[in-house]
Amino acid sequence: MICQWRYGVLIQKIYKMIKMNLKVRMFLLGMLNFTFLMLANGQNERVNTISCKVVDIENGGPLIGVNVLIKETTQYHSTNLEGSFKVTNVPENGFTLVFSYIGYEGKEILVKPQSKTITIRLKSQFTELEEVVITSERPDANVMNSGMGRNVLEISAMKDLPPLAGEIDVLKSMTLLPGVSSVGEASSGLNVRGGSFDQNLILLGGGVLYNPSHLFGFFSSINAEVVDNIVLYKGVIPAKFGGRASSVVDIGYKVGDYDKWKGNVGVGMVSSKLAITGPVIKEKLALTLTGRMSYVNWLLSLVDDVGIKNSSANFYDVNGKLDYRLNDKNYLSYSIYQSSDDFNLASDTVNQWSNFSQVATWKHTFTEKLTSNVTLAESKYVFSILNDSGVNNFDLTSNVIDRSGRLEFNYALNEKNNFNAGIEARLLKIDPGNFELETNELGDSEALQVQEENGREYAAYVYNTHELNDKIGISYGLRYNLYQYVGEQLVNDYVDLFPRNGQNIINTTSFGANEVIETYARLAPRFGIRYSLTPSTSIKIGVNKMNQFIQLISNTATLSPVNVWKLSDTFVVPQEVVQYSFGVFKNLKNNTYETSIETYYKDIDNVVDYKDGAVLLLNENIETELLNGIGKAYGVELFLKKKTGKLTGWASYTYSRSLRKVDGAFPETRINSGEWYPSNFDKPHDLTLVTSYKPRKNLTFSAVFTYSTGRPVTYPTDKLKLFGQDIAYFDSRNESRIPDYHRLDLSVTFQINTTIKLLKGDWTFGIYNSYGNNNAYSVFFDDVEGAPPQAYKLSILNTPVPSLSYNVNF
Amino acid sequence: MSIFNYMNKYTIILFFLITSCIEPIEVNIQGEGSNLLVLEGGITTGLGPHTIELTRTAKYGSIFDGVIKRESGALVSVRDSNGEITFLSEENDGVYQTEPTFRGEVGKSYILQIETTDGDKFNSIPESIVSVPEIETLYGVYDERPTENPLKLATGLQVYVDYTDDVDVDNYYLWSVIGTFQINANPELKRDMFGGLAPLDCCETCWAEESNTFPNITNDNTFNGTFTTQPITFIQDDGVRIEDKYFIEVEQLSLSAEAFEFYELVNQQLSISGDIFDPPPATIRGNMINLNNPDQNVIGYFTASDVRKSSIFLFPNELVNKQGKSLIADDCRAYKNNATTVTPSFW
Repeated sequence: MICQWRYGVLIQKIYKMIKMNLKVRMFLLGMLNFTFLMLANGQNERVNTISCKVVDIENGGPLIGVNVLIKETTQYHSTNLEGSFKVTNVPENGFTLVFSYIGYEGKEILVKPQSKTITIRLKSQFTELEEVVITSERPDANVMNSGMGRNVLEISAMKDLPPLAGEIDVLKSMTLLPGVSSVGEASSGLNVRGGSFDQNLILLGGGVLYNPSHLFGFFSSINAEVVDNIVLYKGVIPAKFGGRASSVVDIGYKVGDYDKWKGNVGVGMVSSKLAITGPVIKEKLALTLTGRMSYVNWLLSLVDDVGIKNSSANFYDVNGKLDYRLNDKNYLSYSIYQSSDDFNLASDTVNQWSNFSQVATWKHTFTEKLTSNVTLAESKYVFSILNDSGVNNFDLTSNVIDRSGRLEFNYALNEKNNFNAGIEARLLKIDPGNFELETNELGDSEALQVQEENGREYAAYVYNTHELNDKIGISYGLRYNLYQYVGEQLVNDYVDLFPRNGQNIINTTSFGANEVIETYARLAPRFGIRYSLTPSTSIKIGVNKMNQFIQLISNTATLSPVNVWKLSDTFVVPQEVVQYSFGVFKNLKNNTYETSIETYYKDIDNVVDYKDGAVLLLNENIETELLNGIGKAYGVELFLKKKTGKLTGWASYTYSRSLRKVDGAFPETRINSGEWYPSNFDKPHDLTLVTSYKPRKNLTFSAVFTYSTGRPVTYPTDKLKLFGQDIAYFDSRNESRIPDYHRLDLSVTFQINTTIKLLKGDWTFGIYNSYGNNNAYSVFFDDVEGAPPQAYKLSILNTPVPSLSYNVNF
Repeated sequence: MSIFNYMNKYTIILFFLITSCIEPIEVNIQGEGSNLLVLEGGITTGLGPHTIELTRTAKYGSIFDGVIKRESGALVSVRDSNGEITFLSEENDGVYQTEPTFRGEVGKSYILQIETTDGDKFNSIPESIVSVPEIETLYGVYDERPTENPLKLATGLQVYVDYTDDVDVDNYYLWSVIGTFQINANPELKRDMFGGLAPLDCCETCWAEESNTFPNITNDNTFNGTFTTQPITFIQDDGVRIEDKYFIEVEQLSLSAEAFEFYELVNQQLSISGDIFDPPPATIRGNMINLNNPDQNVIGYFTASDVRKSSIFLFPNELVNKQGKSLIADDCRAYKNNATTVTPSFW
């Protein structure tokens, strides 16, 4: 009876395995034979199982993926996510286990047959390291994962970087990674591998953020205290992500503390922040609250200039999160986020913008292998300009509302084979501009509203990551996107023979609410393969396709709050990016050093550009200002990182190009006569050096050096006179560049040795732009009567900017 | 209405004044300059002479090349939709004018034809004249504005026009302003460079004209078909302008949609100042085509407009807070470039 039962279980197992893995199948068949042999040998043979667990000798943390060899049988095992593995069919005389794990000293132990459970403690090779940063990743993840173009930034690493005005900036830290850049100081917009800043999907705990910036991009609006880690996908992007063409910045929230209340206070030069977390119900429900508030106004009042004295600027952001551990099988969380900015210039005009996001998730564990995830998210981005000057008072607002729901299943056949599949629906609503003008003193007003836009984005996806063996790993998947542009909307028809403009409208069709105006269906395959030449060297190849159905229509160089978001419609065809990437990864000295060379080539379709002198704000026929182009981007990224020891850091060098081509049928629908031209963020050379030196615990010195080619600008070729004014004449876009950019930031973080708990925090003293380089933020031309026309550069933060901040945990 | 105007250079300097600066840099501009034809002017339904001015672009970036050359010796004519051709005569270097009796007619369309001395022929795309509503009222309102100096306000008269927009069509407007004021100087108090009295014999009273520099334009998107008030210009009381009286003449002109776009682009390009909300530099085009070389750009827009004029005198008693009279201890003609001692006919 027992034999038959065992046989049945094995058949079931085999049936499952056959579908996936030849090697495992062979192994299992071998096992099966072996079992039969054992069974045939006689019922008396004792069948024993020993559970083994491998942990770190210092902190007792489980070690994942440790290679274990049973010397006698030459069988290999590997520890799972809990750091454990099982040995069945223990030979009568016991056996010898040989442990090898990168970054740890090897170990060989003899296991006696009567053992039931054993715990093996491995010793790290870097015992001089006083603080052990536990990462969820294997130390050789960069080499062994089949995913590529993926960077993980741990918040602890970010905290060692020199801050600006005492702020750790989670998004700006990303620009230190290879392949990521931004156009200048006052821009939190990221350009990833030659992509524009609206091509990044920025997710905070699953909610989409549309403009995560404070002070027009000077700081990002994400409080570092809530962040656990950030994963940047820029190469092969898992199929669960879609809707943006270039990259995904997945910002993960910290899980609240179920055990005890604790908090953190940070005081900086521009803003202060507070974070507390603790159990509402012990072991069950954890609450996290964080807030950050600026006091820029106070700084402004110190400036001796009427324009600045009469101005004001404020920002804040708050996060709230509930983590609820219902039971072993169910985990629920709810998070809410709000950031807000307002500034008014010397005028009576107030500019405001805010991001709001709320996300609810429910994670259910069916079995150890099968889990499900339900996520509901809502995001809202609002921008407004209010004028209360008394004459022509007006009020302009625009907003984007993004609501989505997702059901996802995760099936882990084993540690090396993981399936992920799901469906997603997203409703997008854009109010591009709502303008209200006060026409008289009595408060009568007129309104102008640009038509609201509505879109629906549906997606279904499946993705499999499979480490076939030590040599080969693959990750592949497919995402099917169905996008619909729906009413209520009036859609213009234009004469085909002429460029689209207000005069060439021949007909206007009215679509009712929810009536489908345009449908786009797109298949986006993702594929990556890893081939290991040696255990510490691998090559990877990736092909990735992404689609984008919402774009930022911008004709300013930086991410400006007045930019208008636009859904894909009849005229604006969804953007499509196909990326081919190739990389060589090698770790040296037991993963102390990571090195990699990655190259990529991107083919970009349906890039949106704009006509010369386009008016984008409050334009009812915005399609008349837009042009359709193609783009390409390519580059090589070199990366060297030292991960452990007193001295850590990385060096990254990127050579890349990002080009556009707009070749319409008419002179005004062409840019640069239809030739390839550099995009606004084409910065070929980009070098970053990041070092952090920790001579002892509680003392860290950091330095960051960056150098990059100046971004493209358009210089005039001629000057001319019109209306009595000298005007510069520009022949072609982006043919010249602003001067190259370089900067060195320094910081030191230390703790004062004291027994008073409140004084036991971290002091960080930093200097931004330590040698005061006059980096050009922009270059412009001005003609002064009687003098030759002159180019000027505007530099911001051109002197060393010192900052001091204090952070204390309680 | 331009919202971008509210986002001036301050946005950026605001926060970074302590650590921001603007300084000249050397940029190497390549090429020899395009030597493109630049045109300014057009015809209206008002009495002439109507003026077309022709110049050439100059290479940017060098003091010697930076001189704008005038295009003289060209054959310039206007042809209307009935085929009637009117020649313009060159009054000045590169300045061509119609007969004073020539006036455009609403509903007709016009083409500008140019033949330059190097043999190139240029034609404009036909411009038709759309009618423009009457100016109902032209008036000034006292206004105070903050200045760089927190203790000082700029005072003066804000000039407005009232009119009723035509509901049936998309209207595009351009206003041109000419202000005339009297300069009362004291040449007998002129001092030399060492501070000694060096009286001059002439002249005490002059008149000078001034006009708006940026084209003042609007479309009727926000007020189609309604009674509308348009701010025209702010006449700042500087102790000279509004001492006796100030004469202001406003021309309200119709524009075609394409002409409006052209003006808008020029305005946009003039507003570039290096701040973060700047629009990118754009190629200015126009409605002229070089028939010998259609790929070559011709800059400037030949306009054909309906016009309504209105003029008023503004008086010092309209100023709630009057600035003190400025003393001009010099020849009044030295006060302003175009100052003249000839009394204007309307004064």
